[in-house]
Amino acid sequence: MIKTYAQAIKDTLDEELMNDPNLFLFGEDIGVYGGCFGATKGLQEKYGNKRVIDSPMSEQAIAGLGIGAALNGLRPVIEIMFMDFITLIYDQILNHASIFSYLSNGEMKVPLVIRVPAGGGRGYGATHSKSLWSALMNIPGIKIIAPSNTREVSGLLRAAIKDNNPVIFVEHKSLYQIKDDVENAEDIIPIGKAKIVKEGNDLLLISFSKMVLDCLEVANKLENEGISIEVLDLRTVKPLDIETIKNSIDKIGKVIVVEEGFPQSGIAAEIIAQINEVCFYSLDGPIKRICTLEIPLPCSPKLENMAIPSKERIENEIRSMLNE
Amino acid sequence: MDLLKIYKKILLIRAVENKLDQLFKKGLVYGTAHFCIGQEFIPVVVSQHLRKEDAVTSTHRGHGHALSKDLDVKKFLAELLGDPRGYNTGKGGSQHVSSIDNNFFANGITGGMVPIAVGIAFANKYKQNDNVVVAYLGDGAMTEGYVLESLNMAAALKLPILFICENNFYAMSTHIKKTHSSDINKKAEAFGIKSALVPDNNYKLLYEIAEEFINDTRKGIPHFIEVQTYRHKGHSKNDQNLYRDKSEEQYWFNKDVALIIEDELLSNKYTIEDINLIKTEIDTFVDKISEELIQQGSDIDIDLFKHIYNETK
Repeated sequence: MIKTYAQAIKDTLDEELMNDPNLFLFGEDIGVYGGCFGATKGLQEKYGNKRVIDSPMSEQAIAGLGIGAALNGLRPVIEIMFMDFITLIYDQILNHASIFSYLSNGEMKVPLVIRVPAGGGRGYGATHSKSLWSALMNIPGIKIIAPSNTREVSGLLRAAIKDNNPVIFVEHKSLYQIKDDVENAEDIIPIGKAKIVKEGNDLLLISFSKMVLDCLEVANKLENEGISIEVLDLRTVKPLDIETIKNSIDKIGKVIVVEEGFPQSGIAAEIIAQINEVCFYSLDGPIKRICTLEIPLPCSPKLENMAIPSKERIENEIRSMLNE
Repeated sequence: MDLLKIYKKILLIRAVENKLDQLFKKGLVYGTAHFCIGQEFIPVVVSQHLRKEDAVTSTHRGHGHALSKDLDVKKFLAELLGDPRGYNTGKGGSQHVSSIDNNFFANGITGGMVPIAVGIAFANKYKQNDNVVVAYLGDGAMTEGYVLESLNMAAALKLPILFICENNFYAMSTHIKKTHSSDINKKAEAFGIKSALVPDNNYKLLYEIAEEFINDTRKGIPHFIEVQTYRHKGHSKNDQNLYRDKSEEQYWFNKDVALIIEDELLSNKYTIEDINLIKTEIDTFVDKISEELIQQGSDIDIDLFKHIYNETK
């Protein structure tokens, strides 16, 4: 069955709304409008405005409502319209959602999913294009999932919904319309497990979210030249699956980490630090990172393209590392 | 109104805080605390109308809220002392005591629990029960953005929540004259929430309004009460109150609800001996549990990483 990424999300929410009467959706314009990217379209019509609720434009209160409802036994899926706005609810995540289980010694739980679209490539400019996962990475007690493809988005979303912790579910704006056959796709994909999406021997690309597709495209192109690239999709950013990363590095000593966030203190930086701690001696040389340039993202297609990691940049960095 | 019960609870909260203050001075407690002496009658009076299933969210100045929600005194004091026998095994401390069994939730971020209180109320409405949520906040929180978002959210969604603003006139050291240009209860009213003002520590008026408002809140209508009150001690343990006028302090010390109720009891059937006996009993009780906690100590090991994630199925 062919679906888009957005349809796969909608169908999963639909099934879970059907299965669990305690699940509800809450966010700005998720009802008739169907969410900014159509991922909830039709669900209010089907489940009514008591379970699929259009909220006021109050991100902090949306997050608080989700946390409180989760503490009181419901399973909220809230939507923050753009990842750039995650800063508005940062306090509710950092000082509230993430600490209840710990401080109560597991007596309290916050089974909350925060759906949020990230990423550029659509000309939305400096305030609607960012990939702010690194801002969330050093919050103990939360999980971050960033599905890279239409076949897996459903299994990962279902895992997020069934988890008893606050999960930031990062969708990608440029993936919503990507179609794939979802026949026999995994029903539920465990959180915290990375996946080797292409095996290879010469160089390892570690990535997540939409950049995985670009890495794969470059890797497949280079395969024709006899260059064998392994591509690892993190799927879950936090907790990080360093075991799977280590296993690949023990086999391949050349590593590039590709992500759409900014470089300084980014996810790539964290991955490189952890590799340094667990398998430094398996490396052939320094690890390279490819990130969005550290500038407010420009709007024009030409400038935006220069800022976000492109397939050309990935290919050039691979060739340069292999020629060293 | 069970005046004796209210009086005893006020004295208990006061005794626990005074004990804590003593232990701080002896260097036996770590961290900080924000004392509620002078304004502790508010949760005591409001709680007369609450049930166990009703939730209370609290603030950095939350000792009175907690004990009014019937948390166990020894387990509560243990938490303040950083003892693993405390409600949160010492992980929470004064500002972060919580107990799911008591439906009590506290957090040290000014106003931070208010949006969450709205969410707890949302879930009660969703589950179609008639439990209410009482969200305590201060005059400082009333200038925080998400508190204002929460008032709007509760009104727009018609949620069973009662906001209680304990207006003690100072956000830490800054007087409300410098931070507000309109009355606090009028702000809530502007969001479409039925509001009331209880001036001058008027506990009788608070009792009546809280009864009416909590009954109506159970029907799914949000309410707001501003109580004008005063904290006798500083903002936190080391504050010398240099920003407060001595005559202002005296005005409010004279309006101490504990003293006023004591006078009322004395003018009824109680003698000064009865009152002294009550005070002695409460002080002895608090002395006893704090000595037990300190002398026995505890060697319970806490796994520092456990419960970062909730692993229950």
